[in-house]
Amino acid sequence: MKFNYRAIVSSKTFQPNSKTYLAAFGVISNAAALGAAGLHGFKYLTFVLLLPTALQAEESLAKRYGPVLTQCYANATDAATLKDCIGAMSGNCMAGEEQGETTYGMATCTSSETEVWDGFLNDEYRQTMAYMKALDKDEAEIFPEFANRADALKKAQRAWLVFRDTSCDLAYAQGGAGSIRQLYGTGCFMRMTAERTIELKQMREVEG
Amino acid sequence: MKRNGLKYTANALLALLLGAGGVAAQDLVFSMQATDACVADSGHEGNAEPCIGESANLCMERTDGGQSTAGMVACMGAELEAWDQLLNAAYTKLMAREKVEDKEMAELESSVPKQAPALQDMQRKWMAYRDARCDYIGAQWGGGSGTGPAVQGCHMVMTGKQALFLQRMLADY
Repeated sequence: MKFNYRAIVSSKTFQPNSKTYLAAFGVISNAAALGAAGLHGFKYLTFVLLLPTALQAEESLAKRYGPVLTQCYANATDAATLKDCIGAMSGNCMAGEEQGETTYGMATCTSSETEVWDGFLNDEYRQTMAYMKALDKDEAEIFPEFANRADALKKAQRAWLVFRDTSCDLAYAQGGAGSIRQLYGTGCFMRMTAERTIELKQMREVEG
Repeated sequence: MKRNGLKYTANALLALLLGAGGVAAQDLVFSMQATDACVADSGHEGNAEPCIGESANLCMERTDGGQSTAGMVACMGAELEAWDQLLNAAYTKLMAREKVEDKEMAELESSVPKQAPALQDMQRKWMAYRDARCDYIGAQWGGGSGTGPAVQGCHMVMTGKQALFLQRMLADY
């Protein structure tokens, strides 16, 4: 059975995550044309074709196991405790789902956790952007030429998105010929998305 | 932590008055030994990232004027240079190995994705990300005297992390 890990999370062909981010960040303007319904429709189609049996689509997995992560994220107090939240939700999913321990099951559980982190990332980005805009506004009163925090954040986030995608393509390629490479790809997406989320959150809390 | 532009101007003037001027490269007291030892101690599975910057910090303590803005930039620049060499060495080895593996798979007429182009693409996109990220770090300082050290520190840490990442890849596969 042929399977593309990027069909689950994000792909060069379809790129649901990247385009959703870019739309959310105002980088591209035709957000409506990239509506979430259509993108998720594609994902479901993938699962109908590849996983006709018991394993749930990643959205219902996110609903079922997401509270573990949401709780952990809300209770975490610093970078270390936030990083400890990575992987617990997908681990519960793998243990709790009938096919959770298969390669497909693990990849799907991991992608369902990535979806939850995606939501956090978007939220943290918006908050940090608002924070930087406020700093820029103060700066602009005296030194308008240095009021460029928000713009720099947007550029850094765009560059990060591309870096994440190419990093995870590499991880996927290094996974070799077996289906295990899906786990390299999905694991990379989850870890990188989570780590960037934590960074974005801390940008409002830590100097520089 | 809202910053006031006037405060920066004051900082910059103070730095000038205190003679933050030049620390010539030949006056630097720099050795990569502390960082290397820390990385070795952290072991293969350990996290060596906190080791990044140890040698630069020692350099700032030992060098005349090492705590000045220019001194900090020069000391971090020396460690950045060392990490950059480690990064290039790891990348070159990894690329050679990925090319061999790609060739072997091609001979088997395998459809697995090629590793070498993916490695090259990732590394190029990493450079763009490093630059954009360090620009962002610099933008936090509103043109203040901390900008130079902050940006240099960002480049040192990013390059160190990427070198360690590539070294882990070399060791893992």
